[in-house]
Formats: sequence, structure tokens, C-alpha cells
Amino acid sequence: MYKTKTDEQLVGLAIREDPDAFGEIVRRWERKIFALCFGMLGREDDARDAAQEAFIAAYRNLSRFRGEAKVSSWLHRIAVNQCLTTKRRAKSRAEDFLDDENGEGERTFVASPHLSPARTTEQAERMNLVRQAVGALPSDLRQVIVMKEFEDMTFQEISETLELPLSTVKSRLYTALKQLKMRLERTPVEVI
Amino acid sequence: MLNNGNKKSCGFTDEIVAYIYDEIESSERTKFESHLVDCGICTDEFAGISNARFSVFEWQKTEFAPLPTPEIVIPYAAKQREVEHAVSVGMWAGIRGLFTLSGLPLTAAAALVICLGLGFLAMTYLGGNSKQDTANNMNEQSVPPVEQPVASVNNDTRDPVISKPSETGDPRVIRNSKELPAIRVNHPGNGIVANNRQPRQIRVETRKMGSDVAQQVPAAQPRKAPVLSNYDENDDGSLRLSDLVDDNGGGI
Repeated sequence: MYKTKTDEQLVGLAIREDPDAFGEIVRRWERKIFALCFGMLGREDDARDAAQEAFIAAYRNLSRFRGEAKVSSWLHRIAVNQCLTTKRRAKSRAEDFLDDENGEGERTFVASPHLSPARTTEQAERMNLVRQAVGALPSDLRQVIVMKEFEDMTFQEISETLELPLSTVKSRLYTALKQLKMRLERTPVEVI
Repeated sequence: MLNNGNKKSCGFTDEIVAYIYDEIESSERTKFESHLVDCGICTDEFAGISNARFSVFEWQKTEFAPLPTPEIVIPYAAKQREVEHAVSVGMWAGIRGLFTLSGLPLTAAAALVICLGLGFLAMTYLGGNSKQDTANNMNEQSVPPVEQPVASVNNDTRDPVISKPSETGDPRVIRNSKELPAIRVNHPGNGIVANNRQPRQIRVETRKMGSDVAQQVPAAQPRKAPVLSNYDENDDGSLRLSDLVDDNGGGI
């Protein structure tokens, strides 16, 4: 019943106290929002919490959705704001408890079973560098590159979601990749 | 030529990104590929950007792709409670708003409604008491008489119904007179003191009021507590001269 409806129609049903309609919205977007949160935050547990909080915030603010923007834009905006809030909290926690740099010890790294231990360690270090480099990007640049790589969105979809011109999306993505390249060149790691 | 970082670019920034992600149009693809062959700067730029993009792709493939999608739990019940709370607060605020000075017309309307309600309740209550009093009076007046007099009394109008002598026979005879023993009201001089104020039989004297109409006083009924609304001047138990005459055998 709900699969044939658009996101905007589902939101309209959810506003009229239809929890199943909002459940369909969650099913459609939970993976992409989780990917966005993961790319923005770099940590699985933080990404899970942020995605959960983002959907709860969206559900509580259903009545504020005016239909002027797309549901995807609305959800991404909420998720990005939630990620920025989470990042600020994590930063303040790190400053308070003098935690290790970016809490690397808590991260989980899934090693490929085809790699030797030495290669596995090398890959883990490289992934750590990439995560730090992406995390150091400005939020607007980071959001674009995460939407492209983690959510697998097209330029047109990113443009519609962020309500930006297509050329702006391309230039932001170019700038993000350029800055990322420069950061990674400072600490060269062998590409596997 | 644009200056991006330490190297100069040919202005093909959009094409580089679009080419990397394979979203470049066919016409632009041909043009850009032909440019790459001849431009070392753009070739280096393209290689560096591709390397950075591959790093992010590898990070996504290695760390994110294996992760399961988290189960999102939406507290629908909490939202419902919030809605109900908002509704209850809204109703209370609305009621409270009726009595604020800001909404004077509404205040007047609310006061009018309350007054009408109180008036209706009062009318209902008083009406119920009035009916109950009427019912009590009916019960009092409908007490089964010990003796049914010939001249019945219409309780509603308290006017005696005069019966003709032809209908009742001798107007001097009271039916069932045996059931009500006559109480002798002795003369104070005969040594007997009437100390009992029980209902007594009053002999009915027929007074000629006309040729064939006789007014009969209803027979004595058990005395009841005097009720003003039920008072009948014929229900007089006071001593009469005729009783004394009868008690003395017609002589004084």
C-alpha cells in the first residue's frame, strides 16, 4: 500500500497519525541516512545514534514539514545538523577527558580475510588517515563527498537534496577531493 | 586558467569530477579526453583527484559496506502522549481563556451559560420538591377514611358535596356508625372527666336549610396533625351545645 506512494504523500499520511507511513519513510531512507552519518562522523556507534536521533527528530517535527522542499532534503538537513551536534559533543568530551586523538581505540576495522597481517595493519592505518582527512574537511564539503561516496547519489540528486545548483555541487566536490588529496599527500601511504 | 592549490588548472574542474564519477555527457567526454592527451597539468590533476576519491571509496567499502543497517525505533507512543498532552493543555487554556479579561464577549457568554445552567438546576430541584409536596398532600388527603360519610368531601376543592336525602336515606343516619363508638362528653358535673382526646363521634345534626337539602357534616375522622392547607372548618372538634343536649337526653 505504501510502496507506491511518494515521500511527500507518506509524510502527509504520517502527519495524520499514521505510524506505518512514517515507517515506510524510515525503511526507504535509513540506509542512506546511516551512510551519511557514518561518512560525517567516521564512527559506527556515533552514526547509529545520530541516525536514530535524526529520524526521531523528523517524526517529532512532521508538522513543520511544509512540503516546499523534498523529503530527502528535509531528512538530510536534519541528519547533517544531528551529525554536527554529535561532533560538537564528542569534541567537548574529548577535551574534558583528554581522550586519545579522535578515539581511535574504539573504532572497529573489518579486515579483509585475503590480506596478510602486515597488509591488514597497513590498510587499517590508511583507513584511519582517510577518516581523519575526511573529518577535517569543512562540513559543507564533507557532506557533498559523503553523499556521493556513501549514499551513491548522482550530482542531480545531491543538487536537489541540498537545493544547490548543479555546478555548485560539482565545484564543491572537486574542492573536497582536492583538499583531501593534499591532506593525504602529507602522509603518504601505499595504495593497496 | 584557474589556480587551485599549487598547480594551475585549465578550467576543466567540473569535467574532471564528472569524468571520475562517470556522469559526464558524451559530447563533453570526447572533448575532455582529447584535452587530457595534450594537457599534462590536467592529467596530473585528474590522477590526484582520482586517488583521493579512491581512498574515500575504499574507506566506504572496507568499513561501512559490511555494517548492517541499524534498526530505527520511533517512539510512537511518546508522540501520542505529547499530542494528548497538547490537546489537554489546549482545552484547559481554552477554558481559562474564557475567563480572562481579554475575551470580554466570550466571558459574558460563558457567564450567561453558567447562569442558565444554575437556573435550570434550581428549577429542576424546586419543581421536584413541589411535586413531592403535592404528592404528600395527596397521600394525606387520601388516607383511607375510617368512615365514609354520606356527604363526601371533594379533596381537590375541599367543597362538600351535598347529597340529597333521597339518595342517602335518612340524613341523620351515618353509615357505619357502629365502627366509630361515640365518646361521651360528660358534663363536668357528673364526675366523669373526659381525659381522652381520641377522635370522637360527632353526631351530625341536620339543619334544615331548605326544603329538601340537608347539609351534612362529614363524620369525624381521626384527627391528624393540622395542616393549614388541609384545614376544613367543618372538621371542628370543639364542644357544641347540641352535644350537651344529646348527652342529657334532650334536656338541659
